[in-house]
Amino acid sequence: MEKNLKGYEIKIENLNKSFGKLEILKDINLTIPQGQFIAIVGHSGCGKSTLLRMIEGLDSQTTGDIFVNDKKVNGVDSNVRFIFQDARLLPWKSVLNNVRIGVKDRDKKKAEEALAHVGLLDRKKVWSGILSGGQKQRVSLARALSGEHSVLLLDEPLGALDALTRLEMQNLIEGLWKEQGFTAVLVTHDVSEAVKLADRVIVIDGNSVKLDLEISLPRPRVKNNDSSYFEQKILNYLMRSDDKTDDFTI
Amino acid sequence: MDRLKKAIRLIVPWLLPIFLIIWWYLATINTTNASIIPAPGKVWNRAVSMIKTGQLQEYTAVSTQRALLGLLIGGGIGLVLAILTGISKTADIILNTTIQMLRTVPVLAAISLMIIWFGIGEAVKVYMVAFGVFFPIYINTYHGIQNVDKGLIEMGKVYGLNQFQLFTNVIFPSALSSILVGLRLSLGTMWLILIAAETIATDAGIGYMAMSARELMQMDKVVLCLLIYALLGKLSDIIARALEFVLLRWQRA
Repeated sequence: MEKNLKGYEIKIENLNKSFGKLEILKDINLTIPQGQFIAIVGHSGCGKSTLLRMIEGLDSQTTGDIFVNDKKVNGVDSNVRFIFQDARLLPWKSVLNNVRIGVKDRDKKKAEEALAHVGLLDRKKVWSGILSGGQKQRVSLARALSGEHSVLLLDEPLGALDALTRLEMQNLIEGLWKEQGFTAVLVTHDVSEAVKLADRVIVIDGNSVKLDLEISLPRPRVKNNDSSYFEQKILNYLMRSDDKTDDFTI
Repeated sequence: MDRLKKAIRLIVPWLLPIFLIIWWYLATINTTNASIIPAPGKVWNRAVSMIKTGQLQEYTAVSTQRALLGLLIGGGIGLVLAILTGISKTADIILNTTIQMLRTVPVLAAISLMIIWFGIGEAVKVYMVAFGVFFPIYINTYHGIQNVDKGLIEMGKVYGLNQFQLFTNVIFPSALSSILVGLRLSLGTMWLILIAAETIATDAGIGYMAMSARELMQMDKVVLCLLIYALLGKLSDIIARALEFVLLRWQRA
């Protein structure tokens, strides 16, 4: 592995999060080494997005600690980037100026490079509002990846995209991760996406970590029997817990 | 074909005013009480003669100046205060209730108080206008800021924008369309209040012209005043729309 390990280590210790009486996450302990690509999988509402938001410092935990690069998380750190489920572009800015928000010193050249990376350089001058959903998300990816940063948190960024764009974006994210060596945390409910991209997959269910699985497949990954094996294994865990929560009938 | 459609679209809005003027003309041809309903020709002659003496321009200029000064003061204060209460929770708690309460006071009811405080000079008219335009601008700016997409603010924070950058890049542009709605509303209020204030105590301006004409039963002059209000109102609206057109280009994309 030839990576310039500039990614930060993330350490989560005895983390609890509850909304009122509802316990979302209970006693989570997790260490994500420098430069690892980790995927967190779970049903919707299991708290995986909340966990991600707490790593960014957008939400605060009830008890427990999160350390990024040995520093306790306390508010947003610009070295930790976050890609949202929706693109969150500023419609009153052009595509290029939206990307510039993510670049240090608002450097135009770097923003153009990032746009070229996602194949949208020819659209740089248009208002971001007129782009299609997939293009918007590509711009938001360019914005997130244009700066120098050490951690990338992805909150189901590809969920709303069509299958083809999604595949392109997955390759793009993987490529940039290899190139830049940041630590990546991907939250998704798409098991095959997790297996395609991540070094390691975590399953969160019933407010705790149910599975911590190393994905030992070589990259670049293609769908084959080996990947199916991992997917099935993860799915088994997700489905098994499904039976248990079957106490409310429709 | 497209040209024809365009031409029709340009002409159609003017049909009703033209129809009204023709009706007005026909209705006043054979009337016995021409002093109560002045004929269009009389109004036109009055306008021409007043333009020749320069009186009409002078009155319009005086009124416009008062209106704009009031707009600048009231609108400026409204904008700044709304930004303050929109952004700062503390300012919101301290100020907003009071302002929302004052909003329900009819401005015209305060005229007598203002005359006693500020006399009948130039200042009182400007203050009245300022008081009147303050609220539409304040309310709309406040709501515009309150309704900024929280997701965009979160995004701005993640990308390391400081408070000032967050304001200039996210909050203000987002609130701008609402602020411009406030501006358009306040332009309407501006003329309304100014004319009312000018009717009460002045020696120049369109309101003065209307009041003195009424006292002398110069009905053609009164009608001329009404037409000038309509024109000024329309002009303000055109300017406000032009501002929207330029500043909110991204919304039409």
